[in-house]
Amino acid sequence: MGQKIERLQNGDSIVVRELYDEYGPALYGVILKIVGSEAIAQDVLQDTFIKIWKNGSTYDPGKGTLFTWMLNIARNTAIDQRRSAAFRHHSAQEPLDASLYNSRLHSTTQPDPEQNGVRKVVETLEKKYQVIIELVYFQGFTQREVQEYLNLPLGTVKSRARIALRKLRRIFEEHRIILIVITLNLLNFS
Amino acid sequence: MDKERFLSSGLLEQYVLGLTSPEEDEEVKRYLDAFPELKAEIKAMHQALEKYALEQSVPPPSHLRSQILSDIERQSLSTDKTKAAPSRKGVSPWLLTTAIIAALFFAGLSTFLYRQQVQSQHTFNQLRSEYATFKEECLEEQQNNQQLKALYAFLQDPSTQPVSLQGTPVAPKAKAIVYWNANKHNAYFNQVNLPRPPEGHQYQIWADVEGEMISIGLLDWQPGQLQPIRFIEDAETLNITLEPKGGSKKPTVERLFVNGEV
Repeated sequence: MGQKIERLQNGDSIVVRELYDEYGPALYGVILKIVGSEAIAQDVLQDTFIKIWKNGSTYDPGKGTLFTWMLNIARNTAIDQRRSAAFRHHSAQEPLDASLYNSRLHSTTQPDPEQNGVRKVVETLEKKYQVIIELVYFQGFTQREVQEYLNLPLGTVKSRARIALRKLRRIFEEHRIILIVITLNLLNFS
Repeated sequence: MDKERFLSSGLLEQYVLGLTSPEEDEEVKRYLDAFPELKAEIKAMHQALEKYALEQSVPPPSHLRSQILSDIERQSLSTDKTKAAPSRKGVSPWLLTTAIIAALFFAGLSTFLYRQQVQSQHTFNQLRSEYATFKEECLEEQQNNQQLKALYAFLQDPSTQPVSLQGTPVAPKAKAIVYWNANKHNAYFNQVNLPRPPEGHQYQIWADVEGEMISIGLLDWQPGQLQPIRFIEDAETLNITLEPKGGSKKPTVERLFVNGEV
């Protein structure tokens, strides 16, 4: 990873290919959520990777992971695109629909049928926490925007955000600890 | 400075999600300076979010990959952005050997320490995080509970009077109920059946007091939920109109959806 960062910081264009293969789908998923249209999302993904390549030298590993940095670029590019006048002409779709989130919040039904029955690890996280992470982390909402959007008191937004991140961590850490236990057992035998 | 209290306060989580005020940022930075090990916590949070994002991946169409990469390749050539690769000096063999031995030694030592550390630290972290989560969830539930109790008491109150608002020719099937309590000066609104307002519009509720329409307030379109609304003394009828977002000073009578007598 360290080497990859160094190559990116040196403006290496080959490393962009590796980053695209590793993170392109994740960034595309986030962009799609923000702009809501595949045609626009493809433009945004292209701009995003050009920015990643051009601004590679400004990435500072001390400030956060490489993915977080790339996600910020993707998110800002997507949000700018959504605000631009071109977008309004381009798309008849509403990228943000509060009722979508609200209905998901209050829905008692099980995960979408379109998931083909494959349950992701993270679906163990309750919907109300998924929504918060979605708005804050993927869509870059401020505290106030979330508050207005979900029509919740500020204290609840804060506490839900905290709980959401704690639960998310626990979900993934339980997976990791299994690996550690296996490793330790192997070491005991050696 | 109390590290444990700081960790259970959840400020670090808010910080990672970008939900902190400038003052709170300062506080987090003070703690990070005092306890550099907190950076590992931040990293773990970023990693959890990263995994979450990776789970939500959507594969971009395959033609996009070559399009983006060739575009970058072209720009790379035209701007002559090629930089000399950082020069690498040869590493002498004895230095390499020493380094390998040292690395093996430290690896063994850290494994030993790590084994002791991992289990207890993990248990502790998990308990701490679970405790904080439960506490917050309890508080939230308590608040919800209090609100529900207050609402229940209000609905049970003999002086709470349900006012049925019936549809007008504009929307014959529309219906809403307002619970009106003249003793307690309290009121709640239930949109039993109101169509979803078109983009840029919003419902507004009005009280008719001696022939004058007084705005009670704007309504959020929330099916199945009771919303508190303002109580107006001496209201004779209650009326709901559709208005441009933000509301109007005077009701648009042609867009009167439901009304009823108190």
